[in-house]
Amino acid sequence: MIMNATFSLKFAKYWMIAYMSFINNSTRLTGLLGKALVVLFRIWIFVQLYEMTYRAANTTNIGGLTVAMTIWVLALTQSLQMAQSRRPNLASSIGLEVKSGQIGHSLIKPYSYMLFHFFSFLGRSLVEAFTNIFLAGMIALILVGPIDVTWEGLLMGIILLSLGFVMKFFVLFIAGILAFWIEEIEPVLWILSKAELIFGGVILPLSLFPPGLKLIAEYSPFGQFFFSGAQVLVQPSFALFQHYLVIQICWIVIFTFASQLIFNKSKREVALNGG
Amino acid sequence: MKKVLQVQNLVKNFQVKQKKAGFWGGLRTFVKPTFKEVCAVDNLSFEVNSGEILAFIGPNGAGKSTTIKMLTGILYPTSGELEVLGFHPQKQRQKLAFHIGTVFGQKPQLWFHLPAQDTFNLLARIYELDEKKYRARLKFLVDAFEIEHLLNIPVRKLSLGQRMRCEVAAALLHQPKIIFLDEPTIGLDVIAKQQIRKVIRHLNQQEKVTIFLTSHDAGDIESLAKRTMVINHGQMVFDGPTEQLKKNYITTKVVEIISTDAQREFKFEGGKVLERDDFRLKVELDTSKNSIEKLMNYAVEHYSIQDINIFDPEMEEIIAMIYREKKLKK
Repeated sequence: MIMNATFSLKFAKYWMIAYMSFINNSTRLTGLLGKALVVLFRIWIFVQLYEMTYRAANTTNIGGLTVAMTIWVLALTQSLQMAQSRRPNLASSIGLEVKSGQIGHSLIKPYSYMLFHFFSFLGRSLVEAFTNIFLAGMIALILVGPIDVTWEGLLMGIILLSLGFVMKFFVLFIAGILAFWIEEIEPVLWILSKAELIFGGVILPLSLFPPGLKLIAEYSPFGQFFFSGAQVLVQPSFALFQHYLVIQICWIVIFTFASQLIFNKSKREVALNGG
Repeated sequence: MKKVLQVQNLVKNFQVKQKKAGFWGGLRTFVKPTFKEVCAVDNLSFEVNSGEILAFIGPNGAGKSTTIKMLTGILYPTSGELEVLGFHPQKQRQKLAFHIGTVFGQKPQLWFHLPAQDTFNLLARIYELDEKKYRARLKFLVDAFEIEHLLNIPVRKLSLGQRMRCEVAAALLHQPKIIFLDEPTIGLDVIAKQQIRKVIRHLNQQEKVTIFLTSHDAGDIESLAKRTMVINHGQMVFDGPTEQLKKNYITTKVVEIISTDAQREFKFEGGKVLERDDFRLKVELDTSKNSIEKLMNYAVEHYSIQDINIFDPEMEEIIAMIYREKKLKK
């Protein structure tokens, strides 16, 4: 009974953090809508591009995906990727906290620093993700029409997308914490964002990749952020779901250990100027 | 008396990266970085009893904030022993966090775009406060700091004084046993300063909260602290009653009189002209010989005053006096 009460108190504090982050980001509507418009514009370009590509190849299906499916996959991956790219993103925020010493002040609060950022990231991303998905979905619906989505596909897709979100959090968290040892993390973030663009199925679905590259992308964390979930959602397959799930779980285990190791080591590195 | 803070031979050294000027210098630093060790806190030892209000003062770079950051668990000491409320601040950060409150004047904890009420609600969850107790505590703090009308305004729209009152209230929500205040009144107007001091005094008297305060404002120290510690270059140079510090070392005030007839003769017992030009007269007053009030009356009678500023002696000056006295005793 006491344990339950303690757990619910701990759980409540992290949900409250997510909620605060959610409302904090909801107040900046102009920024949200501006980014959603960029997603809309990109979807429109993708529609032109892929319709021409499919026409040129004289086919209605490449790698198991029709034009409509490709556009819906890209609408999802673009929306989710853009939802976490606003500056300062999670990694930049942590980097700034490290540089300014603000991290020290967070460490003396009765919460886990990592969970604080996870729930804060969750709250912030949800606002943007919902806005982007809603508007990108509308434009996809108008331009290429609906696709068949099953309940199983939806469930499997949401599971993979959620785990992909956790993976992305870990990657950004580790990149931010690197600020303890490297002077400038921006080049690292630049490489990560470009790798996500190429291997994350954000511009080109992995199904359209040549086999060798497809394999690399699938097993890389980038392909597992949002592409795997989006693909299973529009192209339901239990075998594919299992395959992606195993890859994601392996990455999450690796990232959990790595982030714990790096974070514990970094606590001693906190340096602040006095006053 | 129960000891709530115990510090023994505390040392903190920082490794500061040295960077040579120019492109080649920068490249050399990148290939083979060199570091210089800077000692911020040098063998500091002291104890604080429960319910004390302690002022911890010193010039810029003396090591005040570094010491507070070690006491709260933010920084790891290079060597030495620390105990706060029976906890080891670095090893038991989370446990200690429930019992201490911190206000770092330049590190806000309120969410900038949201009203203070939202941050208060969040802190209540973070500190796992019982809803009923939280509401009662919030009401007390809201009344004490007179911030009821500010609760629903986004923090970014508050003035510095209003924001600081909310910041201090946020740090006190969980009823900490020790409050560390690092420059809590920096940049505030007189009213806001007095309000903060009033609440701090009340908490100390009614709830027996121990207050550990660093400030550049002599008013904070004089009106709050019974005991003062002065540090310089990370070393303790004075630890004793604030009255003794005031009596022995803070014996002067600098008064600046802005007037159109500043060149008129100045003759006042205990007053010494430091600087003078056509519109400004700067006087050092020996407070053991005469009072500020009498000097004000004299100024009003003899000059057409446009403005008056009163300053305390520079911290460096006080420290120099302490050193001089120590030397004489030897």
